Amino acid sequence: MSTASEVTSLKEEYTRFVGRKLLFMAAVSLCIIIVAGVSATLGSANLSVWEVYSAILARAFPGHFQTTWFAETIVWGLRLHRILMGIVVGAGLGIAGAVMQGILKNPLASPFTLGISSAASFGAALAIILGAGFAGGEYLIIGNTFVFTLLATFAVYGLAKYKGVTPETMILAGIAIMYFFSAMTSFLQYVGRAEQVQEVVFWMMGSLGRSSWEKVYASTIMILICLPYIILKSWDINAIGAGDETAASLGVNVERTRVISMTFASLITASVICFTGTIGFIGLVAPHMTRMIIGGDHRFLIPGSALMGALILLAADTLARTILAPVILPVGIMTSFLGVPFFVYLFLKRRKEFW
Amino acid sequence: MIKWVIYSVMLLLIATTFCASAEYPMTITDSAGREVTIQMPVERIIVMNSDAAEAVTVLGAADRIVGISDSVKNKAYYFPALKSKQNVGKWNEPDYEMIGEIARSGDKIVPNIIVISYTYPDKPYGIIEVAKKLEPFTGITAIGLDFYKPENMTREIEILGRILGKEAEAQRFIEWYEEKQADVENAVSGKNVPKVYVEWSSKGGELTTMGTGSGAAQLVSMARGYSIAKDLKDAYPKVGWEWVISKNPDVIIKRSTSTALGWERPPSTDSVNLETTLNELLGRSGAQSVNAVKNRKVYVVNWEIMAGLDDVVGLTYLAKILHPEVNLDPESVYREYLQFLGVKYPEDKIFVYPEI
Amino acid sequence: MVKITINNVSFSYGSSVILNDLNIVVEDSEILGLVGPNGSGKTTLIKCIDRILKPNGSIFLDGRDLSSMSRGEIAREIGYVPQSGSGAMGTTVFETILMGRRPHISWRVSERDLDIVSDVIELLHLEDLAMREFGQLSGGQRQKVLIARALAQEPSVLLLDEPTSNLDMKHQLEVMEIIREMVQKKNISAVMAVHDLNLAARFVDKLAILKNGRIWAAGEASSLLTAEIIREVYGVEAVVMQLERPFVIPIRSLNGGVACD
Repeated sequence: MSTASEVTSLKEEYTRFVGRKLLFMAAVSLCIIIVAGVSATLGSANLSVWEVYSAILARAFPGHFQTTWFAETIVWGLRLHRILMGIVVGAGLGIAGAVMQGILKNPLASPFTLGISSAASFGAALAIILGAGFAGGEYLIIGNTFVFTLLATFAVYGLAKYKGVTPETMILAGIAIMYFFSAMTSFLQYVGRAEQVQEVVFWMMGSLGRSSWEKVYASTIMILICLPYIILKSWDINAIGAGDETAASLGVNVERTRVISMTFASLITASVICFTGTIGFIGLVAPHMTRMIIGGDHRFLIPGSALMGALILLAADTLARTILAPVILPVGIMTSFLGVPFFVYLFLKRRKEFW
Repeated sequence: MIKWVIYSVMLLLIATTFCASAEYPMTITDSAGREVTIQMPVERIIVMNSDAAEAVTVLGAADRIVGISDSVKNKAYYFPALKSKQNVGKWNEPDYEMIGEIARSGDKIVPNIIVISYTYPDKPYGIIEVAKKLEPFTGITAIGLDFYKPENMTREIEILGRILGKEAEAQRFIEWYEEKQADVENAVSGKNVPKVYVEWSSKGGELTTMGTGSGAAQLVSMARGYSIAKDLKDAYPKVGWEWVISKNPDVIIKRSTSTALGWERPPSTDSVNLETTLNELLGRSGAQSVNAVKNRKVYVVNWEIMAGLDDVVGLTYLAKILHPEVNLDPESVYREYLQFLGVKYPEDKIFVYPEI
Repeated sequence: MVKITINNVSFSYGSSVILNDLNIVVEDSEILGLVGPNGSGKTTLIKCIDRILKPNGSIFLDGRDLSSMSRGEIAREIGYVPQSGSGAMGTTVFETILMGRRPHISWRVSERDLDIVSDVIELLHLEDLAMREFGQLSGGQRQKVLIARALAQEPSVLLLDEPTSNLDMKHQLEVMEIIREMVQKKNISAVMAVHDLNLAARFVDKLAILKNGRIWAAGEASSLLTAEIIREVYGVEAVVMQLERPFVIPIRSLNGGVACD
């Protein structure tokens, strides 16, 4: 009798545990909606909250809400796509970071440490300084960034393949690739003119200022293409976290899962940073924050990191464009200002051993 | 007599109204090669860089400026009148919402407002991108003009004159500009040609000079000097000090890193800074074997006067440095230029150190 | 009934031969203990049985060649307990054990999965640890959790790689008793690498002594653990007391030095 109730209580406890994770995600989603709602009302244009929401609702319920041409232009033409871009980019970076940390079992893995961002920077520098690349005109930087991001991933994989695709080989290969592309970027900066170098630096700081509806759609579609596999493989990523051999004994094809997940994470990274420049920090820290709060089960960690990344980037960009308005700060600076104290707080408060 | 005055004033008014209505909508081709249509006389201007602000001011239309970028704000010594104008953010990432807010009256934008930006093809702050961002704000016209290239100066000023209805002022400035250029040309013709090394920067021990295509290289050759970096391809090529010694320049022109030099600080602080800059260069190993150092022909120059509409001032200074015997008065040229800007000449300030 | 048949199995890393032509069978509900000096191939053999490593020769499970089975199929039959487990970042004990259900579930966790995990937790008396971080546990607790994970797989074969190597005396006995009990209760077979000959003698049904990648001898512990065999296999002079089962007391290492391993 007592054993039966023990079993029930364990199950209940786990169900409550899962419930708390879902509650956390619901809370973060709510925060995103609130911050987005506030963000939409902030800006240099002198619009009242009512004017802003009328402009938004007028599209949803035409005829029921009256809007003005100016409010419509500001809200739909400038603010909303930037807000959505922040959400999409933050989510993408959060997902990519969570996946990379998971499959490489390394808390320091992120698009930055694996050479992906430095390859992207090199692609951008190549476009800016030499005007060379894989596409033309305004797509030059975007195309270059995308292609070089994937090139870096394949280079990391190719190098690691020689010694067996383990976390250690991939991270070492990633570091090698990172230094290689950093050196190439430095070289380009050395030969580049002052204003070109400045533009490269500006690109590397990241900005949502280049957002548009098309870019929001493009990034969203790419993430939606990559996400199902990653979500489906959450169990396998969990198993890999317990060790390659354990994962194999649990029926996981470790190498294939690692390579495909890595490729998808890189694709997601590429499809967001090609539009924004390298926004650091989020890919590294959003998964950590989420893990500190809801634990390391990737079925919840990956969507949780996506929400957390979205929230941080959206909040950071909102501050970046309003705090010193009309001067718009680089969003990368704000993500650190905003994220680091939060991160340190969680780090100090939760003394548990996570890695 | 009074009647005559009234008549002529009325005639003038009618004439200007007639002219205006005849000209609009006006189509111009900007420096990016874009066909731009201006619907009605331009009453309001937003300048995205200080060169544009300078050009508008020189043509006497500073009072129409309603928005400025941070780079204009940072040059208050040139634009005291613009200090209180609305800031629209950084020149390379403006706050477009702010531009829209400035432009609108109620729920519409009267199409008498233009935004002047650099052309910079393919750059996120180039005119194409700026125009795209401003597209939703029907009524704001974006125009790309580059007032930093000496070879285009006349054309840019003429276009701006047409846009602002300030053709006469544009003509007057161009005449003055070309006259001062001609003065220099006449003064230096037939002189021997000294070798000149222009140092753009020595930040972090890394020397940058100015090569083909840079404004400074053109000024040096107009002032009848031979730039030792003439054959270097880039506009800002990096060079080694050994290379400079091996070229043995007769004159060294060093850019003062502070653009505000001579404007904001009292002369005493300036001379300390200038002395430091100069000594760093003179103290480099092997410097004593260079002709320019031996003959004390090393000058620190305020770069404000070396680029933009006032580069003719820099040209005159340069000619005087290269050929001290010529009969040119750079200071008076600068005084005349500052009259265009409506700024008082800053007495006792240093633009070239040591004094020529 | 024969559960596992190991047929002419060899394995080598490059040119160094680790396993050399092994042949042995494991019966139903039997614990096979693998003993032998370091580097004799115990761990490698266990990994070959789980096909984490792919050997030459063949291994049959219930008459089916393992090389013809998919990873998932093998995972539903064989549970593997590594020597020491690092937990994934930030996972609880419950989640770690739930991971054992991975071969049986696609994505969603069913009531049945939760029941099985709860049962296993109860069986191993881990209730108080269930919601703790795996990384915070002591060595003995971790080992139990790893066994629990393998049991949650509902395997018919349990592979254990020196499950007691980092544990104190009490935990060694506890873990071994759990394994013994599970094998009997769940009617499964187990292959276990063991260092401690006395533990092996007490808990396994059959012993295989490995040396240099070969099976040196196999059979009942009481007949294999003799002073001669220990001298030849380990190079150690030992006294073996034959009570209800053999007790090995090492005296000294034969090629100089004092026995201390």
